[in-house]
Amino acid sequence: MVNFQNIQSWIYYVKYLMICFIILSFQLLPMRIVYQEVLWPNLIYLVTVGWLIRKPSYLPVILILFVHIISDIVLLKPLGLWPALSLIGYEFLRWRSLSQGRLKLGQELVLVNSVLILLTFLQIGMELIFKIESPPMGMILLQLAFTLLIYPIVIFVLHSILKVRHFEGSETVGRGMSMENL
Amino acid sequence: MNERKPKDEYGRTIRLIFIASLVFFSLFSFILWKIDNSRAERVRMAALDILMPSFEWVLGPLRGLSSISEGIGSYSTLVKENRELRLKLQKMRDWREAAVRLEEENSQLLDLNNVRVNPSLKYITGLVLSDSGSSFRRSLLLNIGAFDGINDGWAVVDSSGLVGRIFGVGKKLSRVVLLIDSSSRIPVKIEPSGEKALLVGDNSLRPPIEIVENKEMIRSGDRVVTSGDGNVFPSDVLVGHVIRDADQRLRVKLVANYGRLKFLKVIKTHTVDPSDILGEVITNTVTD
Repeated sequence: MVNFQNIQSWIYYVKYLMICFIILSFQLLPMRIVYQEVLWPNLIYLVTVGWLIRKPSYLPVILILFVHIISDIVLLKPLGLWPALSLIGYEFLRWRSLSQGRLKLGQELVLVNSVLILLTFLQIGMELIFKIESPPMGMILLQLAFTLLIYPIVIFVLHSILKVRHFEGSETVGRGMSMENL
Repeated sequence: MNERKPKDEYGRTIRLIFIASLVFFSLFSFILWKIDNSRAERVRMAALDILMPSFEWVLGPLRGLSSISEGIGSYSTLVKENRELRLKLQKMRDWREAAVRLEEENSQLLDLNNVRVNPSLKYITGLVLSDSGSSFRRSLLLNIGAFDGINDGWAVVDSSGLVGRIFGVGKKLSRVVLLIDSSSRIPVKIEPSGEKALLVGDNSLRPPIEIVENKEMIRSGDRVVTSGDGNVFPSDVLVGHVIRDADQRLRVKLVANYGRLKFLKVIKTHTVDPSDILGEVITNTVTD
C-alpha cells in the first residue's frame, strides 16, 4: 500500500518535471526575433499554482525550486530573484489550499491573480532597489495581463490532460480518495 | 513529507524553517549574482553547457518543423522570386563591374597614401541554438564557444551586417546580445559625414542613435558602420542606414535580417597592442 502511494506521487513529480521541461523548450525555441513581440505568459507559474491548488500534497517545494532555478539559468534572467519571491507565494497558496479546502473557480481565479500581481510588483520593487535594468513597464503589464487571461486554459490542461484534479470530498481525507480519480 | 500531516505542529515548524532556508538560498544566490555579476554569468554559461544538450531532443525536431513550414511558404512565392532575382542579377552584374573598378582604384589610392587598412577579418560561423526566451532580453545562444576560440566582446554578423556582440562564453556555446537589446551600446560612425555616435538598443527593431554633435550633417539613408572605438570591436562593419522617425529622432534601419537569424559569423578581433594605437594617434595628428 505504502509502496503504491510512493509510486503514485513519483508519477506526479515526473509529470510536473516533464510539463515544465516542455514549456521551457518552447520558450527557448529560436523563433524569429520579430515575432517575439508575442509575449510568453509566465506558464510555469500558472502550472505550479494550478497544481498546488489541486494537489497540494503532490508537489514538493524542492522540486518547484529546482524547476525555477533551471528556468532562471536557461532563460538568462537574474538568478534567484523570481524563485525567492514566488516560493513565498506558492507556499501561501499551498497552505491556503490545505487548510481551507477546495476553492470555487471564481475564488481560485481571484486568489491566483492577486498573488501574481503582488509578486510581480514585488519583483519590480526588488529590481529598482538593486538597480537591475528592468524591462519597460508596458511590457510587464502586458505579460501580466496575458498570464492572467491564460490561466483557465492551464487549468483545463491540468484537469483533462494531466489528470491533476481536486480530491473528491474534503482535502484532509487524504490520498486514499485520489486513487479513484486516477 | 511533513506537508501531508498538516496537524502535526512539530513537522510544520520544521517545514517552515525548511522553506525559509530555501527562500534565503534563492535570495543569497540573487545577491551573489548582483555583486559578482561576471563570475555568476560564467557559472551560468557553464551550467548552460551542461543543460542545453538535454533540451536538444525537443528543440531539434521543433526546429526542423519550423524550417519545413518556412520551406512550404517559400515554394509558393518561388516563381515570382525567381523572376525578380534574375532582374536583380542583371543589374548586379553592372554594379559588380563598377565595384571591381572602384576597388582597384581605391586600393591604388590607399597604397599611394600609405593608409593601413583593417587586418583581413577572420570569422567563425555558428548556428543559433535558441533565443533568450524572454522578450525583454534580446539575446541568443550560438553553438560555438571557448573551444572554438570565441572571446567576449567580439562582433557577431549575419550575411549582411552587424547583429550584436558576444557576451558570455561557455565551453561549447556563447551568448550573443543583440543590437536591439536595451543594454546594448555600440560606438558607430555615420558615413559619409564621419560623425561619431552611439547606437543604443531600446527593444525596438529600429534602435536610435544618440550623442551626435552635428545633426545637420546627417541625412536619411546615410550608412552607419561600427567605428571601432574601444578597440574590441572591428571598425567599418556595416550596421544599417539612418532613418528619421515621426519625432525627427535619428534611428537606424538595420541591414541584418533579424527575421531569420540562423547562421551567424563571429568576427575574430585581434587584441590591439599599444604601438598600434600610438600609430593611429600619430597618423591622426599628421592628418590634422
